[in-house]
Amino acid sequence: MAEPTEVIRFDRVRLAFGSHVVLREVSFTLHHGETLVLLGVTGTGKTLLLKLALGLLRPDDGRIRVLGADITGLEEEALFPLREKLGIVFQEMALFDSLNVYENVAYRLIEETVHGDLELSDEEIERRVRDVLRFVGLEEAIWKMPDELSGGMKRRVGLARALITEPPVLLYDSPTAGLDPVTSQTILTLIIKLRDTRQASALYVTQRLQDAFILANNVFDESNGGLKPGKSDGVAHDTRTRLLLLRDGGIHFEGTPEEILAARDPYLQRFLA
Amino acid sequence: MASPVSALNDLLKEKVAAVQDFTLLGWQAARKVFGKPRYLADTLDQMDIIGVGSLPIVVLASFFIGAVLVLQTADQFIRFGSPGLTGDVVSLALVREIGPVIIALLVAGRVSSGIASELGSMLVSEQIDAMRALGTDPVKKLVIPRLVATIVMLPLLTVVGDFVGLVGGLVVSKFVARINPVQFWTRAYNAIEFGDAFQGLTKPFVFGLIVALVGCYYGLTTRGGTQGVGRSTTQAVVVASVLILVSNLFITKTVLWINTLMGW
Repeated sequence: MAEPTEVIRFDRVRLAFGSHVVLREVSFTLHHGETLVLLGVTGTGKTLLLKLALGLLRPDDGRIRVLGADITGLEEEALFPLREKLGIVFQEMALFDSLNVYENVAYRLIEETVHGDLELSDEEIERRVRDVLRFVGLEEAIWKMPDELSGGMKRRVGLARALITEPPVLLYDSPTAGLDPVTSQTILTLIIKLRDTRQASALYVTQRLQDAFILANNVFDESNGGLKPGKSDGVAHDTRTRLLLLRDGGIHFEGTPEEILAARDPYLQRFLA
Repeated sequence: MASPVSALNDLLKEKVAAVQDFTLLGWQAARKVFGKPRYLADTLDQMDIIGVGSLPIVVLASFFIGAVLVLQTADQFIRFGSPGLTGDVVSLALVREIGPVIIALLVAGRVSSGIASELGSMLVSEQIDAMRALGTDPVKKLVIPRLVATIVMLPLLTVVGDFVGLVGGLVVSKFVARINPVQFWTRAYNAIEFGDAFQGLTKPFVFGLIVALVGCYYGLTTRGGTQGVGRSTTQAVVVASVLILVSNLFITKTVLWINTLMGW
């Protein structure tokens, strides 16, 4: 069966807490292999969109489709198989503080092996954990506890945990928030590496416009493990990155980085300044 | 500013929603308790934390409660020439009422608060969301092991507490009240009938349910960061304690009715 081109689709989604309407009639689509950067100031509901996509929250109105399935009315138990195909990196890392790095990253594999249908030996689990920790450059921290890690290391462990089952869709909640420029660059390089080497689709929530432009204008450089401009070597690589700006519970702008730069809208001008 | 009527309306809605959520959590736990996956290792861990961890405080408190009960009652019975009745009264009071209630209150102070703060911290640091996102049901992984562990361990703690309380009474009856210890122990032992033991062991099951479920509920509904965790912890202890005392009346009445019906 052909893979659905629509990975995530929000159709007139509304969400309110009491009388406070956070999202009103929000509609957008994330396509296969695409990165959709959700921008907006604090409190515009960007993180809520990720939680809605995972089924951690239920919309008051509208429909949400993930990988072809309508998750709007699904029971919690029915969502678990679908969540296996989605990886999320939380803004607050959300590492289990009583478990070490190995147990955090291996959590899903151990749960599936002990309580599910997966049949993996301890050696196989450790090999896969080491592989993914090597991918994020943290293999040496495998036996450390979360409180022994820096903020950037915790983010990378969070990323490793999201990647352990190689999900086709990744949700990033402000993965560079509160990090120094060097660590932010490391995280962004990893995300771009993931996009370019595994063709993962992604929703990327951020307040930092520069993140959006780095994602849109750079590709992974396998020769040095860093980034290179998308328009280099005489070739223009399509980074398949679109931007979506939320404002007052709705979508204020949706388009490419070039389109947002060319826009004459006063709010966009202020946001870009 | 909201009118008083509107504020009252919001307050009532909030309280009704809280009762609804609490009932729903209990129903979900009951529905899922026998389903797979079963977290046996987590349940045993919780039994150790809740049961074995509470043992020192239960033993210490029970010993002194039994001792003080003898101090309070022995003089009266000696005055009426029936010192042997001290054993009857102390054992019945301990087994039927004081043991289950005081031990449940002690455990509530330790366990409801512990559960509420642990789950509350996990909630505000998004660990519960992470758990759900990773395909684990928090009710099965977190609530049911704590619930089962408390329901199993509280009756056992009560049995230990009752016994230690009687030992405390025995020590005081011999060294302070000067009652024959053999007489005290024999009367205390013989006074307990099946109906008393039934009453004394029915209560901890219900109290265990209250202690664990209230702790889980307040933990999983924590709002407002670390300050909210502190608030949930306090509320869990207060509500669990009040529910224990209120439910005690209804359980006592029901068990007495069953005892009469069954002739126990």
